[in-house]
Amino acid sequence: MSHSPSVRLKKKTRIFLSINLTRLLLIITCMVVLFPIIWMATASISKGSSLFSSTIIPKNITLKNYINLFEKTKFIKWIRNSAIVTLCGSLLALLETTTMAYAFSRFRFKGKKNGLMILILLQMLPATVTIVALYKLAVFIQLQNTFLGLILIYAGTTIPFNAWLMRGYFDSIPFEIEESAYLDGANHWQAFTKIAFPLCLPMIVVVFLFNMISFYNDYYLASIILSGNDRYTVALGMRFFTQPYAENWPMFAAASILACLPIVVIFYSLQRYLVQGLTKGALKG
Amino acid sequence: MEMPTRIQKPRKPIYPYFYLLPGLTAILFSIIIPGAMTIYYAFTNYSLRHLQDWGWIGWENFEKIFVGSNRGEFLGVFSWNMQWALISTIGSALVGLILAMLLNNKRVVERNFYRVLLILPWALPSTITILTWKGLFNSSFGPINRMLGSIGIAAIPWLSNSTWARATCLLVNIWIGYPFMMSAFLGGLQSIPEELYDACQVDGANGWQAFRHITLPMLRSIVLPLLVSGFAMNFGNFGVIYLLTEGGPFKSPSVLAGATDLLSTYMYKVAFGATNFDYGLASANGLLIFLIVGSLTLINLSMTGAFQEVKE
Repeated sequence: MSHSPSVRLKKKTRIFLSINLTRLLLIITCMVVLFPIIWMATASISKGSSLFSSTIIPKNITLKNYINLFEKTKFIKWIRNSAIVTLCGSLLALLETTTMAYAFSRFRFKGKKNGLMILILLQMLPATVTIVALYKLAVFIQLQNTFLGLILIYAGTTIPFNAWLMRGYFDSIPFEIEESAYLDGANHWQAFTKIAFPLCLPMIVVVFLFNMISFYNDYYLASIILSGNDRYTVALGMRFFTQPYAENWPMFAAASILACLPIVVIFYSLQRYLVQGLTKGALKG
Repeated sequence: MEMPTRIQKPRKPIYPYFYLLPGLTAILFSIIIPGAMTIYYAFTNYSLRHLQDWGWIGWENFEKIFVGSNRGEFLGVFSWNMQWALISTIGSALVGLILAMLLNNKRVVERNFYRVLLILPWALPSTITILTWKGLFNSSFGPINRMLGSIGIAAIPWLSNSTWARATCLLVNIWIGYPFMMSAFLGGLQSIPEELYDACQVDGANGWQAFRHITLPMLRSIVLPLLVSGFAMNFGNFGVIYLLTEGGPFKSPSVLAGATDLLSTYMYKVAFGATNFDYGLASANGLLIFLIVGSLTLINLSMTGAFQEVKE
């Protein structure tokens, strides 16, 4: 096909325009979307007096806000509490889910189909709904205001979704490798721990980190179980120390930058798996 | 040869149940028992006034919600909750779709850079970012109003006027929700074979026609599950509203249900707010949330074939 030069030129300009228009729109969106984040980063290193100034470029750079944060608040304690709760919660969830998912994927037993169905249906019951009961139960078994109570709730409520996700992953691993292990005289526990578990490790890591992110981010459940400044997780602590906003703003900015960091690092180092796994997970239910 | 009348069946082993035991125990204590307790509480007068002598009152809590003293509050909250879920879902899906289409332009060589930046709201813990937005939108000393002030625009009551507060909450929620939609749509767009568009161009179709006749139909299988699960998730949302406005601004005489209150935040305040501690009423509310969110999830699961998977 041969076009006249003017047509070719027109096509070229059209492509050029479309690329740069796309680029422009994307840059503008990025700026709008990132505005609060940039603002926080700037506020956190600005001198105290310019806390609500309307410039986005700080005039005097200081680390005072970060130092204040460590000296005047219990931020480090909150981080520590969050670390305990999220790590233990995710580990416990892993322990409970992998064995369950493996059983649903590999073994035959009575009630398997009904069990799977119940697993799906339980996903429909968000913890939002049962919050009063969870609170009363925690009080009743004397785990109110303990990390253990929160850890148990976190791990337990996430099982149905995680187990469903992981069972699918186990299903996608060919059974032949385990079969040959059985022929070599391995038992089911060895087949699980020595073969299936390592093969499933990528998925297990993703589920583990995803749980960590969501536990770290939880305000709702933590707010009914934990009370008192010393017990707060980051999410709780951040909410309560913002109360006199004007005074604490730069310190709050510093805190939110630090509080976001671990999660951002986890998210981006695993974004390929997280984004793929979660968007697919949501589409598959 | 005569077959033995009784074939000895191989006994099914019990070891699978040991694998299930830890998970099942946890599910029992964190989901099933609390679920049963919630159903029971919903029919009792368990509250601050009846902490010791609480008991069964039948449908009274539900009557309160649908015909009685809480009717006005509940209906107001419910209708805003519907609008909230609908606008949030469609808004974030639209923003996500548009951005995904922009990012799918292979001629923009640095597109991955934009994608990484644009999913940042998803990568950040939302509890923290919501609190940040709250400060930015503060009417009297928030940076946004300061900035508007410096170019001569009068202060906007972002969170203190009912209508503005609703719009602000929606804005923040869409900001949080679009990266997920964008990622899902981008995955869908990238699975559409390039040849389809080439063929379309040869046939002389314009961009809109290509979108209508190729992109949309190809995305259809993911759009509906995305919208339904998004709706269910937004419907049960708690954090955005509670951390931004606590449900406010409030109109007297109601101190519990504000202009931006959702069923979940309303329920939370009924149960743990400073005045009532009405556990029974809150549980009844919880059951209603469950019915709505649960049936949406059910629809989604049957759409995506999860039930077929079990039957196989």
